[in-house]
Amino acid sequence: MTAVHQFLATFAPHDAVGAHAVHAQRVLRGMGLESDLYAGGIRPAPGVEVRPYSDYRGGGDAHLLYHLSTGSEVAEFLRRRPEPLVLDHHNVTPPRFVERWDPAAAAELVVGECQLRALAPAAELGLAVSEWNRRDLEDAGCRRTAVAPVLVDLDAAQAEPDRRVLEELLQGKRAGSIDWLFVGRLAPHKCQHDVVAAFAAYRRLHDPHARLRLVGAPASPAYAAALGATVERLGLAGAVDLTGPVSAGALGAHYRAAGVLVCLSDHEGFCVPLLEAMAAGVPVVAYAAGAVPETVGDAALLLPAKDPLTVAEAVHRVAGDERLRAALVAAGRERVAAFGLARAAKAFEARIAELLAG
Amino acid sequence: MSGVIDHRRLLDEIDAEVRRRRADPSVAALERDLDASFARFAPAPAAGTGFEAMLTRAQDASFVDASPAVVSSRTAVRRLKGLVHRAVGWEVRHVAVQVSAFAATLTEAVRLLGRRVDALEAARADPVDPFEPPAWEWAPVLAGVVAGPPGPVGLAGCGALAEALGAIGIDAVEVSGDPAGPFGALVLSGPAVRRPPAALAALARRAAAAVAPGGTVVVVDADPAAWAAARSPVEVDLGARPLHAATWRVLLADAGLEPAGDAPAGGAGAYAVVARRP
Repeated sequence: MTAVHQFLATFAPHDAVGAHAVHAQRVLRGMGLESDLYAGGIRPAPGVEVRPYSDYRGGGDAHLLYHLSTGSEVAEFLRRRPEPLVLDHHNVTPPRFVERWDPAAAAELVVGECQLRALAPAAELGLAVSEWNRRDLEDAGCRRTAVAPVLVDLDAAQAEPDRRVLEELLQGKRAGSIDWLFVGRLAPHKCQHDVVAAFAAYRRLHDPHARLRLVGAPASPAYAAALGATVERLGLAGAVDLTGPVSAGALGAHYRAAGVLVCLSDHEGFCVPLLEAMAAGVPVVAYAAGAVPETVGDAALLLPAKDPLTVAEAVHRVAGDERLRAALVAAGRERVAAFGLARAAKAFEARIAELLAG
Repeated sequence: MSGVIDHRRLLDEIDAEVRRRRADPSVAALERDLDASFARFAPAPAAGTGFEAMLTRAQDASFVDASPAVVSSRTAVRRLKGLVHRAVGWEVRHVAVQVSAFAATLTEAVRLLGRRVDALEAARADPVDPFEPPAWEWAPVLAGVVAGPPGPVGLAGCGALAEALGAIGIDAVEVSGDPAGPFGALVLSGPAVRRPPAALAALARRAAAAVAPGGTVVVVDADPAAWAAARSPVEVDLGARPLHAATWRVLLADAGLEPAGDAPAGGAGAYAVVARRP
């Protein structure tokens, strides 16, 4: 039986790359292909079997699909394998964003960039979750590239919000006030500090009762500490909640409770939370950087600058202009339809089928 | 549906409103405060800005602003803030001036101390870095791997190595700044490889271009485990720490060099990675 086995640097079930790989496995198996998951680091997930990459023995008619997002020993292992390689490029964060905060993590990213350049020319196919990433692949020397959107179940994310968490989140919310939200690891390139600064300006100028929730695990302890200290210094401890990682149900509740999602990242290779927010009917205000404009299309208020006053004013418009708000929500729902799991799965399946057909 | 949103017009209106607000001095002060807030807690950079930049930052932060904005959306709160400010403002200003002066003096003292350290380092004939590989130990090891095409052996980082290699009959030259060949071989060590990771990737590429075809690039450095064990946590956080040998192999391969094995370890916790230009 023909096989397309998948390899990841690290498998974590709630991580966008991990979830993408699990959906990809379903698609591949649905095509009648053998498909197992292998990784360097493994965080167990119920119902998903992931093996250490060193257990892979080869044999048969197999393609190896590597999900590239950082530097990893797995890439070095794959470079030495004789099987044809497929790269699924999820983007490597440019090291300059991380360097000041976490030199060791930056070194990993530098290696990731090198590994992209080493693997791309040898890959039979380079898949990318966005056009932004596809250009990266092309620049790295990949001869055959295609965009296949990220495989994410946006409906499931909204289906079952945790009721208890939702009640807690709505408690104390003032009528006419708006709750801000951003979802993503606390990391320098995601610029939660800019969100906090804009939020501080918004509270001062527009709505002293607004609240902000930053959902996500700290990726850099130094950055998370500086962010917490900034919140304290600005006197926002009671208004800003750094939640840390949350369950799927709690995440659904956060989207349900939010009045606006504000994304001010300096770099994103795709940014799934933008779509999750749109699926939940939350209007999005975002800074136009990386693949963000491509992900949101016309369905977000996209800003060319992210100084606190501009962002605060943009959120004020969204909060206060009911027609604008309704238009953004409607446009968001339309946008989400373009990235639905069924459609994305079809695109992924088509790319793989083309590859196997030669 | 998205067609009903006139993005251009919306952004223009937002821009106009922001300009209008900026005319208010208290809003401009708020922006400055927000800019400074996060910078205050950002770590001392591992790279990009040096000692002088850090001191400038400290000096900027040493000024205590004793005139907070008394704005509030509620009239009563604004009046109360104004009242408190008028009542105790002179006392706060009196303390703030002293604190600012003390902090500024302290910053200047650190700057002077830095200059003395620079002078002392410059005056030392043989500065010793505990993680710089001992030249006498590494010279014969390197002599075995740098033989190749004609041309001098460039040594970036560790001056003592040039002397030690010269003593055993190898034409070795010290390289300061970016290596510009052509060299028969190039050895990178000490300060040359203590740079941020992105700079090291660029260094590997420049090194690859600086050696003649068939020539070798050798990286001699401390193993990160040895570095972390012997250095204080502050030094480890502030410094551009060494890379693992495996990472160097990846960077050198990315620069177009072929692996040529590792030289036998010369000292505890140190390694030498060797790569050859095809």
